[in-house]
Amino acid sequence: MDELINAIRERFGHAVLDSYTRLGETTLIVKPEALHDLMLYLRDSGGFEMLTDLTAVDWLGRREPRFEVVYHLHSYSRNLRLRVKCPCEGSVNSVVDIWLGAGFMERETWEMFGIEFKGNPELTHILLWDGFPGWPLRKDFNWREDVPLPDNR
Amino acid sequence: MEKEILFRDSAGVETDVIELNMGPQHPATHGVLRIKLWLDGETVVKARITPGYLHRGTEKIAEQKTYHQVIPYTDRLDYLAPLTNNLAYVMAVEKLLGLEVPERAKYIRTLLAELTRIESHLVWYASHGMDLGAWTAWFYAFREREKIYDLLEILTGQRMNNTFMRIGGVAADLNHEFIVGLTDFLANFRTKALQELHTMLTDNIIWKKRTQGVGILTRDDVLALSATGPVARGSGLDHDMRRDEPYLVYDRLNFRVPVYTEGDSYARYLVRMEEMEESAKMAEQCLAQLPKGPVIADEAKVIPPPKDRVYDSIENLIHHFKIVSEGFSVPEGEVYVSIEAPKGELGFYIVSDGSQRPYRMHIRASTFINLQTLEKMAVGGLIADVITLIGTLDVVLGEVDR
Amino acid sequence: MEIGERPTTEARERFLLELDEIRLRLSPQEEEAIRRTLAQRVLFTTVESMSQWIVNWARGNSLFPLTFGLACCAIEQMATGGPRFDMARFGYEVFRPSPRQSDLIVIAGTLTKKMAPVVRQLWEQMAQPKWAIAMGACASTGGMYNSFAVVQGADWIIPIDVYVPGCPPRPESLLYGFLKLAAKIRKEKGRLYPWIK
Repeated sequence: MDELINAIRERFGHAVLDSYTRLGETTLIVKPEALHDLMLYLRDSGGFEMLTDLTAVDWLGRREPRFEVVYHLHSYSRNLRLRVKCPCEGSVNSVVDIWLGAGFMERETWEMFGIEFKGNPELTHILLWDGFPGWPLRKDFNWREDVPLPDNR
Repeated sequence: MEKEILFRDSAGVETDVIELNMGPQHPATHGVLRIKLWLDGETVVKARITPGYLHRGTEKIAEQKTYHQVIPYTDRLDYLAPLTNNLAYVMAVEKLLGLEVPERAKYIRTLLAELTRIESHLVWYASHGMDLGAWTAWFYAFREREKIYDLLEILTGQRMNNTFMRIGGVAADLNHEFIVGLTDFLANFRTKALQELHTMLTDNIIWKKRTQGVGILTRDDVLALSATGPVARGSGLDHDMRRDEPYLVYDRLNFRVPVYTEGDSYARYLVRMEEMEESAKMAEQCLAQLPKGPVIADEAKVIPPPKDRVYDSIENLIHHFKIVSEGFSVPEGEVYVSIEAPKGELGFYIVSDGSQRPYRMHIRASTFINLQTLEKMAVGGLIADVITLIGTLDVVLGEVDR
Repeated sequence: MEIGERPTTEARERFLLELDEIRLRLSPQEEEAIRRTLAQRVLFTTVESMSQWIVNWARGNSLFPLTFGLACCAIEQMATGGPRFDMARFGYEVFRPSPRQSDLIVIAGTLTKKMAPVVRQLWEQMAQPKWAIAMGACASTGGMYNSFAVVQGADWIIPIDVYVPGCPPRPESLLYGFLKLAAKIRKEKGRLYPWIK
């Protein structure tokens, strides 16, 4: 794992903001510009065949930039897991062309946080309905918000 | 899909594409799944899934609750296997806390996780069979499931949605009645009941015709679409987290991971049937190896004192009250813990800011991500095979929609 | 008066006079005894209320529920139809997949806002007379899900006849709910000829 991190640091230079291992989980923090290239590199050279999970965290008023997109990768051949975090202001590149399975996860993250995934062909509502007001998992959305019923049938 | 696409059938007649809406109320969708199908005659040209008819906002609610209060919400995700959901969540919180669980509790957790796997696969067997016309199979599977319900009721007091796992251990020790009942059940299940289930479907010619060669997924598809669990193992992806990234006491148990390379619905059927047998074996091993000792960690900051001592002293009463009302704070950090749930990899990603409530809790729902494969599998098949595909993916809408 | 002959006005008046004389001669105890005997052995009714009773009895004992489950409660609903609890004992085993053929909808599980228009449409597709059972805490009040996405009780969307508590309710509770609904249907008035407005 350390070799891989070193190789990535060498290859991507300043785009890698930080990397650490806590509680046995390795985390890599990258700039949004280098995200797509890094993911492609991780899949093809790092052996991370599967994107296990994709989500985001809203750090409203606590950190700058506001959002953090979190990717969990899994390598079956090497039995390794890696977390990649990407702090952003609400727009990152889509990885759906690298892993087709990112489609549902990106749609969910878009609809819950309003983070735009550039390059995703269909960024539409999946768990909520068309015309839902607001982004529910943002910290400034009230969890008991009185959302009107959808009028489409 | 564009309306103007025309198809030419074998007689050379140009036909239009029909849009068909399946669900959310449909007897074979296992809940409230909606699939929009584009059909050329009986052949599916394109399928598009619209889940979300059961989206209850669990992730948002969890941010408002203390760590203990979140446990009942996890039950209601995959309500066919409530204890596995509890397990994944409490393991994530324990990892953040750095809490070590007593040995006996680990064994009890493993035992219950495997029992719930049988429970979940029985409902899959019942509903998958029922969807394809095997009505009798449904009754046999539910007869066995009622026995598991009885056992869980003896142990936890509730038939389903048990909320039995606690942060630091389990809620209660196994009682004698449960152990005796479980031993009987497992012996009967392995030797008799499972054989009956096999007799009804495994060599059934209708069943084979409906499932063999239907919904083929290759290993590359599985990797690209992030599918896990029996869906992946039916397509030749030889990975089981119980064996390859062991948690609890799985490294001390002897079991086999069934893998098939055909990638069709029948292969996934065989994987689940064999998993049931392995689970029964594992539960038997857990019972045999069960050590003595406490079932919950001795950590006063997290775990309230036992109820009988609460009424004796004012200190214990205050202690209990504080943990129940205010909760306990969890060190700052983030953690992703996943387990091999009956339907695939179930992961909890928890971000803590050091307070009593999770700052962010994300659920990596296995069926939500497995469901993506349906859009691929359905294309080119018949409309009747869509029913097979829903059954073979074993979707539970509570987990898909969260 | 011979049998088969219609009583003339005269004969009728004479008969009523005789009846009055008999009644005057009766003591209060005897009158009470006669009234009790009549109440026990003779049913005074009309064709209207008799057919109402028969129709209600038939309707309450063979409800056709809609095959429809939302969440966890649907599994207990399945178990109720299963081999141990066997809803067929009470005559409710014919689950219909189409709302147009069913007369009972069991809201089994959390009703979300995305699902609410669909449930309303299903309810409107069902033919009269129709009933609804809210199964479980979520369908009754929203339950533990007090969030932006959940309807706080199915009675915001459709009229509910029986509420079954529990999370999820045991199959026995659901059966009790069914029997309560049957008892309620037996007391219904009107809706005898649903095709007459």
